[in-house]
Amino acid sequence: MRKPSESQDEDRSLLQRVAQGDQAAFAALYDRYGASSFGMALKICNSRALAEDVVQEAFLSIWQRAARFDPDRGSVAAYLFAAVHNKAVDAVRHEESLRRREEGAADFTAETEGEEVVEAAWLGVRRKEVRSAVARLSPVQREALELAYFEGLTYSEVADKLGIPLGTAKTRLRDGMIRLRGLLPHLQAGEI
Amino acid sequence: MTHDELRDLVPIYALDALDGDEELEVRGHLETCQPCRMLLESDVQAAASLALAAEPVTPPAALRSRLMTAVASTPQAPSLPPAVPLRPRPPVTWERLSALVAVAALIVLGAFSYRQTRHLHDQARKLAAQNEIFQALASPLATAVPMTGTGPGVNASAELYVSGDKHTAGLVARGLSDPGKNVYQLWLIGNNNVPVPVQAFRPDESGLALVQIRTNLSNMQGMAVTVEARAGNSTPQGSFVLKS
Repeated sequence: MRKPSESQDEDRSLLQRVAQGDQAAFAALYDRYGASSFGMALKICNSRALAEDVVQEAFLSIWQRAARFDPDRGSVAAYLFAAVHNKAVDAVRHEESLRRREEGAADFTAETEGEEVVEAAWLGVRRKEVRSAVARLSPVQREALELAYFEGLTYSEVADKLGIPLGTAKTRLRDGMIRLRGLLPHLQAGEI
Repeated sequence: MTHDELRDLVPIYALDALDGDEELEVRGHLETCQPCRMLLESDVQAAASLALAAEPVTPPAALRSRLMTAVASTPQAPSLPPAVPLRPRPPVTWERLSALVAVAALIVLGAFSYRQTRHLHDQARKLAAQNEIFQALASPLATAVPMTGTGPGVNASAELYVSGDKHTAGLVARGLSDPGKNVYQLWLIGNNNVPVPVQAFRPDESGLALVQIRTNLSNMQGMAVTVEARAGNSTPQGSFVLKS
């Protein structure tokens, strides 16, 4: 199995080629992270149609701005997931999107049930590490992070939803992020 | 807020979970505080890793096809420093933009002061307003939308910089020819694909145009520039010269 660091190098190389207009490199990057991105977008949007729009927009923005990626500031995967997350949160915060989200909830469950996803082995390893780290957060930290990241709620909305003071929501999110950073040592090496 | 209070909000900012004044204040702080920027980079990585907590789902093949079709006809933004995705949203080329604006402002102010010094106060106020707009565009939340030349503007290029709150934007266009008695008109393309006039403008002698925009761009699907016989047309009558 390739080491994650080798995959990171490959990612950077792919994105450099994308910046030079290499469509095959772009397709390779999409094939590598499409399932993770789509899974994340689906969890946030709860609608296949909306998640498809989100992933398409995010990847297209990566294509447009590949030349502006600075590898010193983080990994390609983080850049990409951040772009998808940002588009997804923008989408669910939009009133119309919220309506579609309600309508799309049923089809998400039905259509993804039992699906088997093929992904790079190292990505599977990272996924286990992240899930293990998330499981080691305190239940209240995990709940707050889940609401902020996967439901696109601001911390004041998190406080409203949980019926807790603003300061408590802020603390749970901040401490959850600090703990997560500590539990994911590969982040220190700029890897996702 | 104190530095420590602002620093404590950085992880929440990385989650895109701040709103209102706090988000603006943290954003402004990040522009001047290097340690907090480093913290943000680490927090953005941590936040992005949460993507892996979700179950991966194979996207439909049709999405890949649509994406590759779109890529084939989508121009790429040139490499311009700084290439800094501090946050999920792609970065604005702030140094370049601010330099252009500063030069333009100095030229305007300099030329003006020789002619009508009594209007300097108004000009200074105008520049202060201009500065406020471009401060908004300095944020790492700002996005850059490339525009490519078409038709009579085939040699032109432009970038539209949109602030994080999507209420302020700046257009930097280059390579525009002298429109003569005509004017260039900037159009906002909204959700319904109907162009709405934003502002008419003329480039300087070098073909450079800097246009400040203050309007709600949250539903923007695109921007376009046409050359029009007069300012004030409610629909495009002339040829398109730039499209996003």
